[in-house]
Amino acid sequence: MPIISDPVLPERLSVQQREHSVSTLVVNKTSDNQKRMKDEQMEPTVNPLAGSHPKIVIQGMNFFYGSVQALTNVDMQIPANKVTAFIGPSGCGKSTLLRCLNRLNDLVDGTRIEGKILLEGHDIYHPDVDVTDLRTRIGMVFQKVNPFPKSIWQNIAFGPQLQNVRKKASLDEVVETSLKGAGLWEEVKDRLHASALGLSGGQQQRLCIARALAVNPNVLLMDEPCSALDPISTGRIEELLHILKERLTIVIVTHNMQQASRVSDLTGFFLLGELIEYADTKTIFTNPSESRTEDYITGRFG
Amino acid sequence: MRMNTPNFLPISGKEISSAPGQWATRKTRTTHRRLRHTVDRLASMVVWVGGIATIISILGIFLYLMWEVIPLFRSTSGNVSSNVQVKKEMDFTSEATVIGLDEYQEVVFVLMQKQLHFLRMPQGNPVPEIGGELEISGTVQSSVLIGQKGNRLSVATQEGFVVPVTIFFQPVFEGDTRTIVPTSQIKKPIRVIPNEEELVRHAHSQQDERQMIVAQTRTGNLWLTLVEEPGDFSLSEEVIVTQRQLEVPEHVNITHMVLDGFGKRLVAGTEQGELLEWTLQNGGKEDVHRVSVGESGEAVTALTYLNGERTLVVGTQSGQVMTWVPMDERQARSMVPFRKVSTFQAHNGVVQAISPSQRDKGFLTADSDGHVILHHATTGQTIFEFEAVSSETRALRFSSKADGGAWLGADGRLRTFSIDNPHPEITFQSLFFPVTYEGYEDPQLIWQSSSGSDDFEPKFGMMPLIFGTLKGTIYAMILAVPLAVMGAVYTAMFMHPHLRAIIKPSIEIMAALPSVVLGFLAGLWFAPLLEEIFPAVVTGTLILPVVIGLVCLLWQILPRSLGGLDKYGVDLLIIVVAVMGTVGMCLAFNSSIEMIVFGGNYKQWLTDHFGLVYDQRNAIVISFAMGFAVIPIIFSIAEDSLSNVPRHLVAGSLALGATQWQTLTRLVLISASPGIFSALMIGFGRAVGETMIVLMATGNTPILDWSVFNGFRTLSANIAVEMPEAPHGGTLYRVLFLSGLILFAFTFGINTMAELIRQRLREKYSQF
Repeated sequence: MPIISDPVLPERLSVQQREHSVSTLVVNKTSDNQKRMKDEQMEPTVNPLAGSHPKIVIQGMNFFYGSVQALTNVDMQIPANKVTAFIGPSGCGKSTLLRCLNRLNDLVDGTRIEGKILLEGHDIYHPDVDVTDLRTRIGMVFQKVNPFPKSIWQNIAFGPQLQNVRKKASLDEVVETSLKGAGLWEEVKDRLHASALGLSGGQQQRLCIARALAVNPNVLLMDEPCSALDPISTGRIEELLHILKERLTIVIVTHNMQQASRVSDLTGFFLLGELIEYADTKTIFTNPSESRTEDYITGRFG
Repeated sequence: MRMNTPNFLPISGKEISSAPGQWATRKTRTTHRRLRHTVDRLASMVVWVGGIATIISILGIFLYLMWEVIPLFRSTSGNVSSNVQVKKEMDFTSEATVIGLDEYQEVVFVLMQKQLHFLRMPQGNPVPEIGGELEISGTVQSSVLIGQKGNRLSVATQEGFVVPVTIFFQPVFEGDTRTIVPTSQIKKPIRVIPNEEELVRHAHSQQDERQMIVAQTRTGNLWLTLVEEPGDFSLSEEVIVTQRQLEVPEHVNITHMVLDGFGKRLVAGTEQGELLEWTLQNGGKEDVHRVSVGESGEAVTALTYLNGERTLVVGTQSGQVMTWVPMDERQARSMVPFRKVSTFQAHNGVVQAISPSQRDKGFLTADSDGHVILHHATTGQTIFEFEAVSSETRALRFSSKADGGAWLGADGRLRTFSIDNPHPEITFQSLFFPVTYEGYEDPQLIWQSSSGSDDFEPKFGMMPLIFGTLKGTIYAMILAVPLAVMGAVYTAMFMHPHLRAIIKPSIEIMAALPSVVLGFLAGLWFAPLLEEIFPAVVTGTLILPVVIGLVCLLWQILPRSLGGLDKYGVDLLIIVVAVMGTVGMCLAFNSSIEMIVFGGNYKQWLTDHFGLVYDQRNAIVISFAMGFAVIPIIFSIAEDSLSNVPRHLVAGSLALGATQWQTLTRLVLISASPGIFSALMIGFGRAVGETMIVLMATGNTPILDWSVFNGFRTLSANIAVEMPEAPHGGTLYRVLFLSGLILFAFTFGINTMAELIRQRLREKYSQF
């Protein structure tokens, strides 16, 4: 598998500088809860489950659609370079949580969030955070396969072009590395300028992954990426996740229990907006501490 | 390889049956299932019938329009309806011959010297009760028609007397059969030459009670005689006769003379190939102007006025047929009295007779071979030819309804023709290309279908109407498209959903406004208002974008904490207040602006600086009024297509770090392009077909001018205006149907093209 080289994103540096200044603002805010969390963050082995540094820290998060509470007091640490799976029955809030991580819920009218989500220690909901920059750092792949009605090349180049990358040569390079990263290059290299809508469902989803990779994110959110795909395409995407986690932190929402057990290192089980249990995948699937988790995994409800 | 198939029990032969299972039989169907089935079939039938009916109706409309239009372009047909020998004993060598026929072409009269004979066609039997020798003393030398219309004849004798003769044709009905009964009336002779000279030629015209006669003597002198009879209400019984001699240039041999009905000018053709003109109005000494009709100086052998007595038709020795028109007064100073308009298909022999139509600009010419040709002056075309009979022409007459004619040969042969040419002035050329009309210098595109007088030349140039339709549509679209599309973009992409729920239906309600109300408001309220506040409107148009830009900039600078106010439409409110404030200011300073910018009078200013004339009913009014009608349609469809762009596409773009603006311009607009395109095309179609607004607010002036300050006339408004006064089956009637057909073809073509483009766009951009 080729090694994915970082595409040139000129604005990246400035973004990071800005976010540093944001973080100081965040720290200055005083709240007991926050202090406690901060202390935890300082510990060297912050996540006993994975044994690595957390990429994303979710602290006491509540989320409301109008007056309906969708998430209740979620605390979670997502380790870097691991695949974290969110499982749970429909409507349990796992997709909502995922969308909170790149602030896509901002667009939904009447939503409200409490608590904090820290990306590399910086609050992503701070008023001074540039949402568009945040989203280039946290890529997303959707349940519904959504290639743009453009050519394959234009689909991949869309993200870099948004960041004002104009040189054809560097765009070509990004397109190639991204497609290789998504394992699609060999299949489409001869028809880069054909419509993306002509690809098969599995290819389209890998194109969406490649598109997300093109802006060189640190985190990749995947909202049931294989739910509409056949087993072979699913298999290919699962293989891809194993490779991608070398350089990315991946969060995946899935309804497929086997998929969760196959691809993820950690699994969080959600029920009615609450995080019931969060542990390494093996533990969840073999020896869950909560009976509700066991019931769900063994298929007694959900 | 052994297949790993599951083992089923073998099916015995008994169990296999060709009969349907219980579940599939008709009997087992419950009432509900049957009903469901019936409703389903009924529904598909209704849909099918509806679809087919729609296609048939559209085809039907198209065919009906075609049916009404096609006769316009049918080629003229004509045939010789009778060919008889007139009595041998008459002297066919005399040129003093006039023939005529009644409007049903049943009775033909032949006046030859003193002999007046009536023949019942097509057999050519003489009418027994009437006819014979007229009571005229002396030797008849010249006989002509008085004017071009009717059957008033003028017979002149060698001795210098002129006798007016009138022929009447009276239809008499006996049961179902119609018989034409001719009568003749002869009036008192008028002495037209005061001395003993011999008369050789004369011309005679009459307007009301005023007759004018010009007589030429053997020695070439011309005498003008004016006879004013007392009118019906005149107290005096006295007939006033004035006489004077006209000056004749030297070395001129006159061959033909014509007087117009107004007594304005005498025109003579000469053996030297010239046209001479005497202007008779100024009473005193007449100036003679002359122009040569050809290069070779061939003699003028036939000369007559066309219907309307303005255009002259000239026939020459070598068979040339031309039309000439008098120059305007202004140009007459150059001393050239006439200008050639067009040349028609030439005869092989000498042109011996010309007879104009009494209802249009058509005319018949006949030559020394008995060849008769039908021409039309407006179109400049030769329409029909009758075969030659190798006999010299004595007399020729076009029937009063222009549907036939009569010809008398020097061998005594009388032919009558029937001509089927209901729309002589229409050719593809005359409809769509410039035509030199009577009274115009150059070929022009003009629509002027009717006027008060009978001898008017109808001008059926469709171009001004097609132009007007496009002009109205384009000006309306210039205003409507940016407003509607940008409004739709804002509403769909940026507006708070609460506001959107109010704004969108309100704009859609605008579409429900009847266009007659819009037209009424535009024509009677807005047009005068605009005329008054024009300076303010111009200033406002220039200042408003700047003000809106400034307000938007200020909104951006505003602290973030106030940013959430857009939920309540505060941003919109601020914009509205700013816009209204600006408009108010502009209106308040209207006269000051006019004073400072336009020097006190903007109309004068426009004329001085751009040479433009400001009409009250103009394209700006239409732009607003029709824009108002079109905006809701474009807005509504465009907004729908924008908000129907799948949310997951938008989310996909935003998740890549796109701003809302980037998402809009790089993704949403492209995905919604088929819908937006449809919106534009439907708006365009609406504007093209719009009738009431343009009818009421354009002034309906069919002119070709892109200026926004004057009006125009559209195809649709033209149909509405003129259809009530178009006689059924007439030329105007059919031309109006043709404009309907053009409109139909126009919208059909545009819609088809639009649909094809839309399909292509949809294939490309919206598979979701």
